[in-house]
Amino acid sequence: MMVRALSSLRKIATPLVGSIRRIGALVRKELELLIKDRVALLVIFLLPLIITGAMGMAQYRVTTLDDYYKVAVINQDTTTINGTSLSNALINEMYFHANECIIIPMQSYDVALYLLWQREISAIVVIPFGFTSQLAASGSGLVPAYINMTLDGSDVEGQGKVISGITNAIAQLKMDYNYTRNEIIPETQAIWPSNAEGITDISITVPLILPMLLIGAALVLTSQCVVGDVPLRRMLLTPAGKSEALIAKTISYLLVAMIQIMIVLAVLILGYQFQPVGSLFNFFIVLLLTSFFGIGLGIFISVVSTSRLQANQYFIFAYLILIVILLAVPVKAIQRLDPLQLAREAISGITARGLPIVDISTQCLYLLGYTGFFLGLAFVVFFFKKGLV
Amino acid sequence: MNNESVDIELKNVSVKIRKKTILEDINFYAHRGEILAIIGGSGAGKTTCLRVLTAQIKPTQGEVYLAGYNVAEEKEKLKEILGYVPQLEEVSAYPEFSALKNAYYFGKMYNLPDDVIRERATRVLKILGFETEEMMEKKFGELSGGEKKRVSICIGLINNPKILLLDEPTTGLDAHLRIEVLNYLRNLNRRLGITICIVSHDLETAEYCDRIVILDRGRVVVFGKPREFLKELPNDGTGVRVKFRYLTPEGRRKIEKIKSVKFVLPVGRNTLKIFPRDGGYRLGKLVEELYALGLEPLELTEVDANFSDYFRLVYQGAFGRIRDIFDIDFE
Amino acid sequence: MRDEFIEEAYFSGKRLNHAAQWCEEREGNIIEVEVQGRWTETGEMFRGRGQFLESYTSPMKSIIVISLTQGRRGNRKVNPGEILTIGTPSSKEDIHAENLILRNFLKKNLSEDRFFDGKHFLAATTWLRDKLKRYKVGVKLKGVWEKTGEPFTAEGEVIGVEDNITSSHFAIRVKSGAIGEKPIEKNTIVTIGGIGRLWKNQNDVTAQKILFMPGKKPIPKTADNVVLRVHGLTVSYNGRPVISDVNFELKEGEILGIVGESGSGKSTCMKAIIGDIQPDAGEIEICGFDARDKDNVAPLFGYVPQDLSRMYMDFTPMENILYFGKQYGIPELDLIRRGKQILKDLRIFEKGGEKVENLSGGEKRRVSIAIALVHMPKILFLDEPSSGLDLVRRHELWNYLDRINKLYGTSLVVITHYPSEIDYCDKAAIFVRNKGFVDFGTPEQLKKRLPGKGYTIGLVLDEYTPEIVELIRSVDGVEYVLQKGEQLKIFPSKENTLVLKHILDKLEAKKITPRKIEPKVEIDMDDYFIYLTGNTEDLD
Repeated sequence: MMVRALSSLRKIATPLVGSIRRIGALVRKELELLIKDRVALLVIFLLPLIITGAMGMAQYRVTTLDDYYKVAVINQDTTTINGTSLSNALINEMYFHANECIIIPMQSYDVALYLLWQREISAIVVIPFGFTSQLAASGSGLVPAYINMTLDGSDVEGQGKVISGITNAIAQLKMDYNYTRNEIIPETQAIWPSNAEGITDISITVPLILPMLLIGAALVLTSQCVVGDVPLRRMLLTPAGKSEALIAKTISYLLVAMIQIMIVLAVLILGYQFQPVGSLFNFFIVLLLTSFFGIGLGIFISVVSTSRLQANQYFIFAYLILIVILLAVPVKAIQRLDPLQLAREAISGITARGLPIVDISTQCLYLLGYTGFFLGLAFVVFFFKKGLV
Repeated sequence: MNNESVDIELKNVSVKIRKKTILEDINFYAHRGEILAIIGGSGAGKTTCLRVLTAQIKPTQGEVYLAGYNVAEEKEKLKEILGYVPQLEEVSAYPEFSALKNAYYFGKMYNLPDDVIRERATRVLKILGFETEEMMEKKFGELSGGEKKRVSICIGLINNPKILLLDEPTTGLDAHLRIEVLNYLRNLNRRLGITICIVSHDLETAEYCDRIVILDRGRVVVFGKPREFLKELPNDGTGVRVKFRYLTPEGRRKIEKIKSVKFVLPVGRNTLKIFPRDGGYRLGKLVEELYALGLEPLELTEVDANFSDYFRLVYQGAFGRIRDIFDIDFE
Repeated sequence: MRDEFIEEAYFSGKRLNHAAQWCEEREGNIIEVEVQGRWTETGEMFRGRGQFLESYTSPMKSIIVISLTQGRRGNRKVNPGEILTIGTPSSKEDIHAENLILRNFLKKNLSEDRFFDGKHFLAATTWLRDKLKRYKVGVKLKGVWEKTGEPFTAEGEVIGVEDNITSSHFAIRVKSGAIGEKPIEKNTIVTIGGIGRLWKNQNDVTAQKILFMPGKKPIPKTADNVVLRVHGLTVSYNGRPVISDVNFELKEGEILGIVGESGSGKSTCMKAIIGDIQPDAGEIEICGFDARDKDNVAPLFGYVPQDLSRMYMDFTPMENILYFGKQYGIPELDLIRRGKQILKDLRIFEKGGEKVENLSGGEKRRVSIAIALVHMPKILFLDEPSSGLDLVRRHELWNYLDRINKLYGTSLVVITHYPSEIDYCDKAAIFVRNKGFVDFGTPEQLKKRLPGKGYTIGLVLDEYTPEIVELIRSVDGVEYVLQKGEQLKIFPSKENTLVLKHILDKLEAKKITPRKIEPKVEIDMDDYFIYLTGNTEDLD
């Protein structure tokens, strides 16, 4: 009975083993062809190097600015209580207790605003007229006093630092002058200085650029992989099957994607000391999922196209749609459908916020879903396609 | 016919694609170990026959058998024993790989061991005229048209197929290479018993085959063994080749009207092949009759008819094989 | 020796209109008219033979015009060359026919002589005007001397045509002629007009019968009738010779095949001859003229390109013929006549009114040939007309070309890559890839230059292994072994019957007995080519 079980197992296994061997050979073929293709080599190796390098340099430029955040303070308050100007007192506190902030008293709000737009300063604090009397009058602390803060919206880290610094100063003031029951509320608003430098913080750069890079590179390589593989038609007359061919191509390009990701990681971590907050392994997985989407879409395009030119057109078209939705469509609901956005959220979740996989599982599943959809469709279409020899 | 010894068979096969009839009522077969030639002009449907045999196209009607198996049902089994050499260069092999490397990857599709592939490929390439290692390692894309064709044949043989199908294997080759390829295929057939099917537009293939099918515009015009066809000619195909000093179309018509003459074929400048009727003609009498018509024969040679002669006579409606004579308009 | 005529017809004088119709249907061929009847003027018996010139048919009457080759009226001989009109017994023509025998000859009537009745004077002057642009025109006239009303005959040369509002006329310089019985002095200038209608004729003569004889520039007939001579032709590309030292010639009426595989240099050769590319060295002569002398040479040859799209697809065959023909300066009237004739001969006359793009491939090719023939060239060049055709249609094509050659007497130069087509040629120039020009001669001469003089030893064996073939190849005296299907053809290096014995000995040593032995087997041109391309040794 053992023998019979083994023999029937063999009957199922042998074709399977044969299939696996063929897939292995097809993967080697695909990789060998890629090695001989100069353009492909450029896309696989050089492109990630250049883009990641550029990303990192943009970040460097920002960090060579002062490590301190310049805050302009405009005191419009002339009221006093018992001869003391609480606004001046607050400014004093800022000097000493707003860490990492350089306080610059200024007279003109307009000039300060101009400087903020030019990114010469990071924030403006305006203490309005009546601050001292407001604070002193409200003994019960029921009526708060306000100060205005104008922040640079694109500088997330700076915002945080300024707010915490000012908050510190306010707390210190309350303690020193015994207004602990009173509220001093900073009203904040943000401006977004439009700038040619673009994103200034790598924690914003990485999640945005990496998906564009990985998906773009994957599309470039895979959109030609079936339509440009003319001898494949002859190969399909051998025992090699259509599904074997597609599986082999998927595996090949996943391997290539892994190499690309490792190059990217090497540049970021070794070159720019970038430290993802979350686990490196998760980072790698998420990046691989991103590439996988590009591969799935690219293979689908390649199967559906009837000529190399057409495949190029489709891939450019698809890529443009992805980018346009990401960057130009302000409707959050649509934006969140974009795989580039999904990847961006997943990546930033890991790198900037250190989330465990579980918390970004929705994005990952959506991405995987898209990939599965396109790959699955590719298999179906390829099955019915007639490539006559 | 489904008996064991038939390796290739098309039975009542019709192929209609989008209202266009490409093949109609095709019937032919070949026994194991035979060489079958499928001949026809462009648009005759010969490549379609191959595509039907390899199950790339499903016939609208009829059945297709290879090695006794119904092609529609046993596709996978047949892939192992079938070899196919396509017509177009771009489908044949990867231009970036050498001949040996191409053979390697195609061979791997049959899960053949590496050394077997290399040995087989080198042996076949040598026989096909690839003398040096250098040639075998040259990129496929850099080879000449004829060299590419030969590499393609090598790839088609990598799995030691029982049945080999070739689509126009000699087109584009120099005269002596065409003969070499055909000789090689014939040797292969005679020594290893591989059943071979050659599709060609050139009748020279007819000299090499055991059975021949001639297609014209999707229909079978002739099917059978070339040697038997020649028996349909009077006097077992013996005729006279006559060269005249000066021959006009009217002169030829007069010769056709001679009682003892059955068929007349122009074969050259002022030269005809005359096939007399059955029943012992006399060369002397023929010469007399020619002179009587005012013609001046310069040279007379007794010759045997070849298949090209037979084929041309078929097209002239000589044997009633063509129901409606297609308008011969020279294209 | 008389040329062969292909049909003969008999008509009684009463059925002259049928006879005239018969002639019209065969227009363009040389037609001989044998007539027996009465000389209208005198009533004498007339018997004679002449060449058909023109015929007119109308419901009321028919006329046949001939140029007499021999004839007698009564007892007197009539001068050959006289233009006579033949009509029914009740007409005013020169001869009342009682019996007519018409003979249609195979050869095409290539003469450019044109007959005009005096009533068609306007047509005559229109035609004349065109013709005078390029040619000298001789003339034979019969008419009336206006001043005296006497009959006028003359032979001479046309010196000019003039138009004015009321009429046209032309002037001739008389070589010989007479007014009534009085001869005219040589070199007299006489003006000729047509039969005037309203205005009185101002001219010296009113013409009744006019025969124009245009004279072509004399083509230097080379002593040996050679129409194309190529000597030492060399063409290089980027410093490397494509063809070098090509030598061949073509005589009038012959067919030459330029044969070779693609890339052998044959197309380069033809392009150099017709002037598309400049050769580096060598002489090319067409009918004695240097091929570079475009003005003289262009009207002597026609070219049928391989590419059928050089014609105007939007126009009809006739329109194409007119367009291309005009470039040779041929009068439209002649083009129309000749065009119709050629289209009839090429059997596409029925499609004459359809746009070329609607014709089948074969019909398109025939139109292409017609266009190249309309100016009656001495040589017609055809670039791979048989490429892409199957066996049956290739033979059809060659029968066709043979017929054109015999009908029009045009020499043909045909490029092809099928060696078997050499059998349809008188001579062939052979080109081999990587060797260029290899040989030239008749099929027999070409074969004779091979070892074995065109004969091989034929062997049929039971089995053909590469070893057996190698064995035979190694026999001393064996130049090349050709295996074709069931048979081996062995080229001996010298005509040596001992070779056969050596081969049989070697085979017997291996215990191989041939099934069939033929000591002398002919080779065909395919075998010839296989030998040339397969044998790596040089031919010399």
